[in-house]
Amino acid sequence: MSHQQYLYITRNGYQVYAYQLFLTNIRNWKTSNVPTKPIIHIVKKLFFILCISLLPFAAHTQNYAALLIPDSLLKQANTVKRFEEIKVSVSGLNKAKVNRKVAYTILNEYGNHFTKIRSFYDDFEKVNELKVKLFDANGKLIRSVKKSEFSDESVYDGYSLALSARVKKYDVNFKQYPFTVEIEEENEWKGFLRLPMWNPIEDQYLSVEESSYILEAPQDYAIHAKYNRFQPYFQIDSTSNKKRYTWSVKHLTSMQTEIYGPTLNELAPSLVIVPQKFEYGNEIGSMQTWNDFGNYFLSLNKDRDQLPVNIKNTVHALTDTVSEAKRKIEILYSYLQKNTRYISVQLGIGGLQPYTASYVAENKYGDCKALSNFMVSLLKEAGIKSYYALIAAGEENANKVIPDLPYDYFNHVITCVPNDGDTMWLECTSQTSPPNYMGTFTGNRNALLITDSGGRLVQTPSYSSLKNEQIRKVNAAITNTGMLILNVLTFFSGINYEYPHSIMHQLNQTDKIEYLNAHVNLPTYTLNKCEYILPQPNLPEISENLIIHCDNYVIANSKRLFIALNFFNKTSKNNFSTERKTPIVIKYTTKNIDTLSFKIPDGYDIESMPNAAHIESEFGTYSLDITNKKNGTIELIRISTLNAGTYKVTALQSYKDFINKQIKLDQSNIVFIKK
Amino acid sequence: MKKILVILLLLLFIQGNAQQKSSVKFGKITKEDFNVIPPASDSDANAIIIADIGESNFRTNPQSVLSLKYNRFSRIKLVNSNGFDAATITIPLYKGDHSTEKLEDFKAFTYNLVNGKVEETKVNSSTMIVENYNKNWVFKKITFPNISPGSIIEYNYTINSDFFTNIQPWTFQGNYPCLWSEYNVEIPEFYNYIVVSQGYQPFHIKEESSYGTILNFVQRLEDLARTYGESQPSNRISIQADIQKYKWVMKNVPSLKEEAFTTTVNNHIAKIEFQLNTIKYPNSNIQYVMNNWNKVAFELNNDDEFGASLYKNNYWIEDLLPFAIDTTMPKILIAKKLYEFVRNNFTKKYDNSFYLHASLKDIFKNKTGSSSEINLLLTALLNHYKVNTQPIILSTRTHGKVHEFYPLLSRYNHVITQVNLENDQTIYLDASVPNLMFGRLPLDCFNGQARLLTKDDLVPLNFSPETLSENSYTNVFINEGDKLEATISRKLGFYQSKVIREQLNHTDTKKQMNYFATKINPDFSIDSLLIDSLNTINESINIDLYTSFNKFTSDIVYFNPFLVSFVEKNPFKSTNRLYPVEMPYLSNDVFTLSMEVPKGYAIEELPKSIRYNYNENEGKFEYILVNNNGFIQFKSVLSLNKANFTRDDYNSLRDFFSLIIAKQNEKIVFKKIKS
Repeated sequence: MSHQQYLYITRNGYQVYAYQLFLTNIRNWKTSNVPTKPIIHIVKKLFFILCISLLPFAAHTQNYAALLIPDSLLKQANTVKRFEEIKVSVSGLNKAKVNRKVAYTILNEYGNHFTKIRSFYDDFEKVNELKVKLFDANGKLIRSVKKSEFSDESVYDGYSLALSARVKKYDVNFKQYPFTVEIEEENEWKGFLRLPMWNPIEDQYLSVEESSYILEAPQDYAIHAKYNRFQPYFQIDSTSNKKRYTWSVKHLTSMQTEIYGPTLNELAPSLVIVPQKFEYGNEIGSMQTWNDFGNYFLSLNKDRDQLPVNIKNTVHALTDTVSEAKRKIEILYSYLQKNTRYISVQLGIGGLQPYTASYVAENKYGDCKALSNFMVSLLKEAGIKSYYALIAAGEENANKVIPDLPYDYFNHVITCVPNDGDTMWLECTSQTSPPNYMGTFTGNRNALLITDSGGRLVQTPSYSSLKNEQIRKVNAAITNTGMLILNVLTFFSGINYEYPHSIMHQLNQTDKIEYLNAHVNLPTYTLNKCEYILPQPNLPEISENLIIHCDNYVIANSKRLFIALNFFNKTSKNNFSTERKTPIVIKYTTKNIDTLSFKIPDGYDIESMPNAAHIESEFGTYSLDITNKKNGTIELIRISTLNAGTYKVTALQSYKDFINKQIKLDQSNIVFIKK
Repeated sequence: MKKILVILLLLLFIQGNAQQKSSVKFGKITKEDFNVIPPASDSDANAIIIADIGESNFRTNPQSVLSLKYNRFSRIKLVNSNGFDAATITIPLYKGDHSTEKLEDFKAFTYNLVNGKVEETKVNSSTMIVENYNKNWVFKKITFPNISPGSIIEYNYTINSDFFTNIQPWTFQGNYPCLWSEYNVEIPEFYNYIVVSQGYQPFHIKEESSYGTILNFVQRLEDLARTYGESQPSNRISIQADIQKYKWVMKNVPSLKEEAFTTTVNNHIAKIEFQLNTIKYPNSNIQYVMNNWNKVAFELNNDDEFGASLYKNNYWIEDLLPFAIDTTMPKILIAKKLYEFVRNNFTKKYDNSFYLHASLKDIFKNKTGSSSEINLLLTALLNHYKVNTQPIILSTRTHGKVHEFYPLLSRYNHVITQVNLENDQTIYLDASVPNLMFGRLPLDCFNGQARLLTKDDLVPLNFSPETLSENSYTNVFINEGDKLEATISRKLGFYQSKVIREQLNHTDTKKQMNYFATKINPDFSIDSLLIDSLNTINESINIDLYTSFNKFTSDIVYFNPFLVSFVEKNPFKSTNRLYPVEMPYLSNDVFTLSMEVPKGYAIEELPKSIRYNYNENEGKFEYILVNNNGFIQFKSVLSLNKANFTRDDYNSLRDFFSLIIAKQNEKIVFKKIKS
């Protein structure tokens, strides 16, 4: 089971994210090969964890012989979903049974993740039935696994102190390909916001022979269903007290995502079914409109904003003498950042309902919900109106919310302060973010404000190229002992600020140096200084100053000296397939300016240097200018920009040309020769 | 002046007498205690363990049963927010069939220095979270409230345990530096424990003494149920016994992080463990809990979960094995056939125990088992067909070292198979690793001592990484046609081939080209390639890359002859190292290149040839480049004749790699001949 498929059926949780997590992972860079990966990994794992397993169902005997799979479904496939039936039987607003029976034929080792079977449950859900059968290539049953043979563990998501979620696990461990695994589950729900989503193509390289989704509900149980990117077969059967909806598809071929392309969630078919009314944790809510959905949270949060007297006094002491509202907000946000930390505890309804403001006041910790609720309470005490805001955080979720289909898309909570039209957004789980910074994690997407009159969908800010800059000045010189000294000063802003900002805050000096030593692209050198400064603490801007010494840079007895044009900012190669199917997506508009000044060492002349170059394209621009200045220095200026956008597949060749030219230019050297 | 002298003398006196006790007491804290400074080894630590003091002793519990009482007191300074992880603690409690370890007297405080005064916050035990992790473990977790950078936290708790075969081990070293780590253990003389210590840190105090006392308790023999099986009637006894007292203290223990070329950092942290060896109550016979090797061998041979079924008549084998074995074939061919069958058809599941958890027959039917189960099955299969085999128990490199003298079986996690052929030939097999050649073992098995189970003994064997040598040869011929065409032929060592095989198996030529494109000089592009033996696992891989490079056109051309580097970056990043460097094998890499000076060009400059020996003959690097009348011949060799280097070798090893990397980047300069 891939992680992505269940994105939409996480029922009970705004526990998933802490902005801090996003930043903290850099601290663990040593244990992973790629420093940015683990973030995604953990987040995905979590989705996986919260995923609500679907359950087994109708007696359906199938012939699983691999020979019977049509050729069209074997193309570009590691796994074929032979059969799937999801049956959701709703018997009340807070009662449902979910049965799922699914069979995957695993064609090779890349399909093995479907044989690691995980069934998650928690206070609101129990696993009634769980069965796995293993069939060989001929469809002959060779193993049958009962629920009691599953291991049962509590879920560890990598950062929560406690989750009520538990998991039943079974790994099939088999390698005589092809073989088939059939899974049957029945889960019982005692409260839910979401009905399972239907994603027949739940992973790349997976084709589908047949898949269906059945919803049985009382006559008066109103739903709103939306198909995305497909038109399944559909029928309704009605009895006196029940309605039965059936959706089904057959023979879907596999899909693949491509580098710099849309995600599988943006390509694959899906069906979202929204119950118009739901009941979770003894609270009835509605998703008919965003306003209704907001009202549910309004009642969950009711009376949880009481602050103890000492905190009230602190709020007044901090803000009463300040006249400007914006300043008050900044002061209180900074107070929150200095005095609380992120600790995730998700037990029962605690997945949706925040701990009270007084709990945070006492313990000085909380999760995104508790901290945002606390922030709203602090602002309220200072006479400033603000809102608790639900959001689908994470770079991959920027387009998740469908505005005309109210639904629970969210996994995180932030605070929004309208401030008379000069809106400010606050990420309350970060102790270091500037106020109003919404970057790759929460920027440029819809958020649901919980106002006093219900929910309201609004857009979070995005950053334009003026703001996403990286301006670097490198001063290079050679000492008379042959050492190269580089003084590197870089200014980062907008989304570019996130990475150095996490280095600044998450690593101590030793670790910073060690980290940069591992990541600067020079063969042998020492870092003699690394310093980070926030020029304006309330803006997403950061300056980095590095001083790097490369001993013995000048090769003894050699006539020549090579200086790379570009020590730090090389365009990297990417492996585009020539048969691309999906558009090229550039997510952010950015601008990089690199300046290198090199003092020509005594006794050397320029032997060769590259020519100036200017490249223009719809994707962006690139320019390289080199001046041999009169004062004996060479100055190089490289400017590159990228324009955010979705570009047609037909633009692939010109995009590749654009990138390849840059790669080539970025590799050039200036060569000096001894006089 | 006199005064100073007196103070100096006093200081000397104090230092002369090693500090015997920590001045740190639970609940007693002054504002001066906040001035703690980290040891020099960790000057910018995120948290400092000020004191970590443990105590284990035997007490009669309220039921008059002698049980183990473990007390731990810890005080930690949180230097900055990156050290806040230290403010969440997890206490694991073991759960057996008859009883569970009990956590008692948990007390904890957060201290903050506010306006020069110490403010304390009591940790409310009701915020403690209980997690039933699995069948055998319960985790109790708590996070400290009201912390901020500079806070001091402390906790104290007791665990009462009936499981006295294992006195709690003590770890002196961890993620944070520790100023004072102390463990006091009191053991009644009738229990004899083996004490095993490891690490490179010196003890500040190491003492042993004894005192006499009378112990009055009920002998509850089911406490030994794990050793002796069924419980027995209890029996109240009163014993006049000497109590052995041990005290171990370490001061200023540096933190330890995992770095490159480390089997597992657990081998290197400073730690003490205990294993119950014998019990001798007065007037009774000595009971051996831990046996000698012969006894252990006897038990393993008769254990249903290990040796009992290896040599008996496993008649079911012939029913289940899908082919017949001609027992008149040479033994080695039978061994090979069965090995390949098991290797190709059985999937390993993760498990760190070397016992059988299912019958051999069930393992066979399900085609899956732990690596040990798979190899025990292989042993049984071979014996069944009269090929003489015996199991070997060992611990894999990533699991840690075994104890060379004591049969501490919990340190073993893996089983391999020894085949004894006629003429005293011996073959070692591990069928749990896919794509492994018959007769070879995976690198993870080369972890020093292993034990062969014979009829009456466990015979020590040695699997040293220094018996493995990986040789690679890369030969390049450059030929000038329309382009400069370089043929790169690489022959890899056995384990290097295995890595490539795992990455490239089932990939198409394009993927393979992309893979190698990142491994060669980026100026050259791969036109085609040929990989020999990619799927034949018994052979080393040969790779032929046909690459080309545009003809020289500019007046001066700089050309790096190292088309394939030995090492891309220095693997040794830290400036110092606290534990040895453990490489997986010895290695010898050879690179050669031949080319004619391109037409119309002359050599302007050649890098200098060098030969460098590391620690006499432990390592060697050669770089020999000659020009024979327009014919360039280049040869470079890197060899390491040692796999395990002590920490004293670290700096010179790091310098050795720096030198190689610098040399790898040098270029030949060609100049156009002026016509």
